[in-house]
Amino acid sequence: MSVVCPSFVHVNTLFFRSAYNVQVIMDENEPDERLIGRFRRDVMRAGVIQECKRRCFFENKQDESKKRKSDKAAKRNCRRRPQARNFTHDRQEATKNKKEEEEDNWDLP
Amino acid sequence: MAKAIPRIGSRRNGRIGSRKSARRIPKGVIHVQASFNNTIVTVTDVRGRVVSWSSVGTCGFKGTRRGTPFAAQTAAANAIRTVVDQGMQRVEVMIKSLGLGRDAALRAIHEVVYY
Repeated sequence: MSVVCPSFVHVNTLFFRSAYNVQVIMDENEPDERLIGRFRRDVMRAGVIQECKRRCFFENKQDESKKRKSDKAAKRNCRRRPQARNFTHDRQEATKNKKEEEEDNWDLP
Repeated sequence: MAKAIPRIGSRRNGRIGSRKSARRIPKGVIHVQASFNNTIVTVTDVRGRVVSWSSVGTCGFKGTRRGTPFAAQTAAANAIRTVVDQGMQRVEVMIKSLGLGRDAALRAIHEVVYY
């Protein structure tokens, strides 16, 4: 990381002429909600908010390495347990239970 | 003490005084600084020379109400009012800092432009 200007470290200077991280160009007659949604999505993707939170308070080297470790672990866990799988699993269980209830014979002989 | 000798020279990068009549600026930049306690909206030309500015404090809000998105909306509308009649056609909006006024100022600018 170059130290020419510390505030420009995370800025995409190769892509943008000035020191900004996200650029959203408005189309003709675009509704404001869509524009703001695009802007927010791009900002989130660029990771600006995370970076600001990190810079809010000082972090010593120990805390920094702990945080990096826990972030990596969280990412790994996210990838290992996709939510779609859980959804289909619940559905299957629900249908199974229904079938069992129908087969149960409560009538007396 | 000797009297200071006035320096005569051309200052091309100097401030724009109000002596000249209102300039026509077809392209401009709107800087929005949206911090947690305030929102400052500055309208400049492409080179960065300020044309007009407004902030939430100058709009009459005080205290905790200065950090609200509604206040940012009024500040943005106020700042653009002087420039709209000058016929600005293309505008670049530069947003700085995290704050509630980011989206609100953008919405206000969009509203002024299209309605």
